[in-house]
Amino acid sequence: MVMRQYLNYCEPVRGGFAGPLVKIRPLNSTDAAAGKLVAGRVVTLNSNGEFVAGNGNDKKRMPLFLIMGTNTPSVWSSGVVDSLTRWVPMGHLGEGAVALVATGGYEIQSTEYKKTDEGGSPITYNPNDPLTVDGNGVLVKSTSPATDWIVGVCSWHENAENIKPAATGPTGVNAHGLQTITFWSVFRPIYS
Amino acid sequence: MPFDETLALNQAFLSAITSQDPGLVKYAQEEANNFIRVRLREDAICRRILPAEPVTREDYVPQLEDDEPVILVEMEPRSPGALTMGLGRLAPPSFIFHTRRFPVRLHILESPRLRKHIHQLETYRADIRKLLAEILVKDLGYREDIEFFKMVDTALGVDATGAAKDKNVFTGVQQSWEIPGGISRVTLAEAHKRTMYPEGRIPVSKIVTNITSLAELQKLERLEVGDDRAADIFFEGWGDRTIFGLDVIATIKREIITDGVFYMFGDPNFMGKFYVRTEPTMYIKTEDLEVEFYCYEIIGAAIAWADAIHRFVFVTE
Repeated sequence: MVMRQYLNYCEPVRGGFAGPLVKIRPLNSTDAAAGKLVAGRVVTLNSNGEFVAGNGNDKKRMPLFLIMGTNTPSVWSSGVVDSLTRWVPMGHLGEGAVALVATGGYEIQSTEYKKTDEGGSPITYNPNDPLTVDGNGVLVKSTSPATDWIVGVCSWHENAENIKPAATGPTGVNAHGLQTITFWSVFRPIYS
Repeated sequence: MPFDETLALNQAFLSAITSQDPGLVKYAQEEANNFIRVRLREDAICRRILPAEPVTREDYVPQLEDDEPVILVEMEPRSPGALTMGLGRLAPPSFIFHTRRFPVRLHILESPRLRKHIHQLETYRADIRKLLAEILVKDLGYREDIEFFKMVDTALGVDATGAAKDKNVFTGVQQSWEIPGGISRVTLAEAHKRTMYPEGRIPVSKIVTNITSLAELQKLERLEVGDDRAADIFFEGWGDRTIFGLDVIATIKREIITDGVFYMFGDPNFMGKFYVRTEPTMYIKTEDLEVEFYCYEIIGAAIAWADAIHRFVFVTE
């Protein structure tokens, strides 16, 4: 069984220990409560300095990849169960979310990508496919790379363990048994 | 401390941290830790409201969903209350009671990593251990208080702007109020009266505010205070005087408790728990000619009942 904190997952598989290259900011409470700020989602800073999902229709915003979001209990454990508050924690109300800045030199593996299009057909990802995001910060293959907010370029799946099947493209199963996509982070702001 | 003595201490401290002997590095860390721990207990006002209790790894309760350190705390079970019964019926309705539990999750607070070239550090004439302790304690204590008062405000339903408009998230009773009329004997008494509204009727024992709001209290005139103590306050300052029998705690952190805001707290047993797994600990690493210091602590707290927590914003029309 995959633990809650690994159901949504993001890690730099290349680029080494992120260390000081991470950004630590609070989560926007609305997006957090809506379940949009789990690890792997693409976030940006809003005018209050909070992480929000996606780019808020502003293609100038710097993308970041959440590595600790609401699925990490020490970042978010609100104590609300079925709309009833049972306890209020100290320090776990989204203050300390951690994200990788897209311009860092990483190759990233994330569980947060679209596997099917709106019609339900599988999306095929190939090396060097450009990635953009939907309104919830979920990665998806860009169909209009000239005008889309590009945040990554697909690379090749990395198996954490050799017992897993050989990779056949950018997507594959990680060590927690979850489907992931592997890509290099890039960013091209669009000023229009 | 005489200058020569400070210099000697600095040299001993620097020799220890730049030593290849792990024992001496540990000695230097302990020297700094002693300063940090004492100061943090004094400086973080949240520990005076909800005292920190030490825990060990034996207190952890493994979780199915994650592998973070969690301690479960039991709450007093509630009962449906006694009944008035007519004679002739032998058994009142039965009630199966359940205790409630809440988790306290631990997390790390870390100071920034302070780095310095050893030869620059050697020029310092101030006591380096105290200097480091001041910086690191300020950062850790500040962070503790930010997190604590965010937790308190969340429990009281105070919105992000700090406006007092919502209610106790557990019971729905309003415990965050705007009190018009500024800070006076009458408005303070009005605030104190409102602490008796929640069902728990838990008596408050502490008033927590900031230094400028405390200075407002010094304006209370003889007529309001009632005797010559108004003059005493004028000449001597507030000191450790109480109001309505409540201890008064004032913080210099005006960014956390803004001007005109007063909190009132009851016994910590009626609020929640504050656990410390690792007291502030100094980490020192020397590499080449650079020394790196940082400090961390592992703590966790939660509020599970808010009847003993109140917030008042005293406003002037």
